[in-house]
Amino acid sequence: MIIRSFARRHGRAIQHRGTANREIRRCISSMSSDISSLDSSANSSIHTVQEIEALLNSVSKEAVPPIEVDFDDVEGGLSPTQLAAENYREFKRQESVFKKLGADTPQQYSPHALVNNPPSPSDITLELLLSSQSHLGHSTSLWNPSNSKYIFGIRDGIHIISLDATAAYLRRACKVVEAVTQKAGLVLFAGTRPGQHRSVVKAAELSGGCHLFEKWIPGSLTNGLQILGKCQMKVVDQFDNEVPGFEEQLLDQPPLKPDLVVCLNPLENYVLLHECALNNIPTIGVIDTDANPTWVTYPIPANDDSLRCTNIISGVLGRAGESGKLHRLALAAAKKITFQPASTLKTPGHLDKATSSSQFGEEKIVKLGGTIQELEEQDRGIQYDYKMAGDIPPVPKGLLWGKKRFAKMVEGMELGEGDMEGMMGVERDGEDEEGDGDGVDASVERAVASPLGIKKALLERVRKARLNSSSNANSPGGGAW
Amino acid sequence: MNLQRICWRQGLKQSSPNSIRQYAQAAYAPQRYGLTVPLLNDEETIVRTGIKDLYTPMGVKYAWTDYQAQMVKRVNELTAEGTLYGKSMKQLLIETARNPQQAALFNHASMAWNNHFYFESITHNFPVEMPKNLERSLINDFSSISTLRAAMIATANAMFGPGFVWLVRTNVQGINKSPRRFKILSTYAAGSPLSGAHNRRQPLDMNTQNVGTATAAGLGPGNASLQGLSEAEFRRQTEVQNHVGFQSHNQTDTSFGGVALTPVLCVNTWQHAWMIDYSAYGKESFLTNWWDHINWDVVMQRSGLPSSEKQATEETRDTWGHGNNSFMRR
Repeated sequence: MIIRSFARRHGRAIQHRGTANREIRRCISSMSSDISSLDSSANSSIHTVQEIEALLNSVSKEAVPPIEVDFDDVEGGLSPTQLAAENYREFKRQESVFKKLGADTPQQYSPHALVNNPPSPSDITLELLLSSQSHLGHSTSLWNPSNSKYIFGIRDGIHIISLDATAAYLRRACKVVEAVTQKAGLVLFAGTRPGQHRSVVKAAELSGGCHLFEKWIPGSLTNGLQILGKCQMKVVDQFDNEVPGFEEQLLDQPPLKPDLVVCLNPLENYVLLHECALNNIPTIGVIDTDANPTWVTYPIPANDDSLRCTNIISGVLGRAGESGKLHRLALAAAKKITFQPASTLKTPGHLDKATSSSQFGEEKIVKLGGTIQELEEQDRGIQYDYKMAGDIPPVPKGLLWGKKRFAKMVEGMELGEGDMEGMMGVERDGEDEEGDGDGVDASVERAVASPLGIKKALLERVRKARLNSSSNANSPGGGAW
Repeated sequence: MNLQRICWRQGLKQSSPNSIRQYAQAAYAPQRYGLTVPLLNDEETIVRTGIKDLYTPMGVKYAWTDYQAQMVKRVNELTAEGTLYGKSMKQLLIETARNPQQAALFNHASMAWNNHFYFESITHNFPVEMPKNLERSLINDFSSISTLRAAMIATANAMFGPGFVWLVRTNVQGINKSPRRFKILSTYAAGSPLSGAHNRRQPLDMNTQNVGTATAAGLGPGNASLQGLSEAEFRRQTEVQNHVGFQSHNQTDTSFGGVALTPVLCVNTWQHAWMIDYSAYGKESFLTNWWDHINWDVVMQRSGLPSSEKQATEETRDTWGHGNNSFMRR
């Protein structure tokens, strides 16, 4: 209907071709927001009008001038897309010139800007923490008295967290994160509440670490080989660029453990924090008035129920991690390495060399069900040096394993006290096989010399015990632990 | 109790809890709450000594200091605890332009914007030489600078009642890229030249609109919908200005989100802007003094004309405006 009346009007009013073209072009230019739809709609409009023209020509006496749209044939003309671009550019220019006229606008909080461009540790002020509601604790009846030293007072039935304490502990946590990332440590940012995922991912991105915003699977650290065994790993050089060629070796590598864990809601992540403690991994956590500060290594007393507060904290820690990472990369560019390279990995291509740097010398082939004699022969070739192994301390004299473990292992065996003592490696009076006077049985010392040797020593001991038990069937301590 | 009395005195028929709270919020708010009066360049000098040969210190106090403060204060009261809190004056006036129920907010925001625009255009370090590109462009559109001056002063002088007279530059039109022209536009009361608020441009004195004018525009008498306006103006004020569509009446040849014109200069003809210093009969002398105090560098910057031939060839690209803003934005 509309198109028909348009064509009719133009058929009557327009006498020459030029005006018709301009009208069409003006109509078409107004639909210039989307490039592809513009072209298609322009074409369809032209086709429709041409059809109407043909219809009118067959009916009316006056001849309707044909429409010929030629976009190229315009002096100094613009295509619709160029026109749209130029108008938008002018709009943006005007915006920048005129937007601030009239009055100065107040400072305002915008959540997306806080997540995408978080503040740095130097931006921590009491005003910032106050406006982020980090001072609001829980009801006074729900408090944990352990964190009474972080509490400023009570108002409206809730505890108010002291903001200078928050600021101080937050700055300390920033220092920790910065130091860890500077030494190429892996930081895990964990925040499992709904809405924390964006800030947690951003913090991990900034510091080159890992993020967790879904449930922590229990055992990821203590049973890592099972749970995270299928996860991909990569080898990176000092510039954080991936180095190819380690795929085979990575198959044997155990899953990585973080060097530092930042937890935004410790009350819901007890298992994660406990596993970290078991593995000697330091933790940073946001401790509210009802949380237990001893669950983490570096508590940050703040409100864990406010997303704005946790966004500030994770943002600031992420920025600290970023500065440590950048410092490390700058040093790497200056040919200074701040971390110890992985000692368990070998450069690809050197696997065939006879003089390998492996601690255990040649690769050993252990046969199943091999006899003691065969194992002994193989063990003889090993040179195990305590110093080369790094920080592994020597086994304390006189005690190999705990009593309970021993009890389970020898359950069912009828052993006398003397046999147990012998197994434990404690020297019986007068018996000094070696003669070096260190109080440890000679066989035990040999056992310690290699992992397989320990198994071999136990087999030996059991065999001896069985031989002795037949003669000491009625000893007082036999069998009963 | 006191607040209710204030509301009644200020003419509010009903003092709803919401409005009382708004007044309270604005009255007892700390200094950083809401919008604040902006500072002019050399504001301290201007306030202390006035603008030489244009305003005395008393005139500056009435035209700028007190008036702008009142506009900002009223806008704060009207936007307190609402969704429009914290928005800039330009955003406020564009968002409220189509809503008659928010006419008060539009008026105050528009006046604040217009008044600041006006005071930014004048300088106490006068006279400022007109840049060559701007001069050339103005002569092209007005045949001479003295013609432009005469036209603007005559238009402003003829305006009876409060308003502004603007020098605007039209934007790129149509596929043929018709050249951008400078034009004179007048707005009455708190009318705005900005494209987003075109239905509140208020370019006509309704006293001069009558059947005779309408007939001259080509419409017969007895047309009840005219109400004294020309057909084009009536349509502009009552219909949605649809820029999109194959057959829309009101297409202004700008793309979606585009702007039809750019204001570059204005003069404030509200009586408080000149009557303190020039008394009731001195409007023309005020206008002649105003012309000498125009800061043409600011006008040049607003127009978007390239300041040199080299710039003319470079593409002027604007950023998206996101940048690396602090998360506490202004």
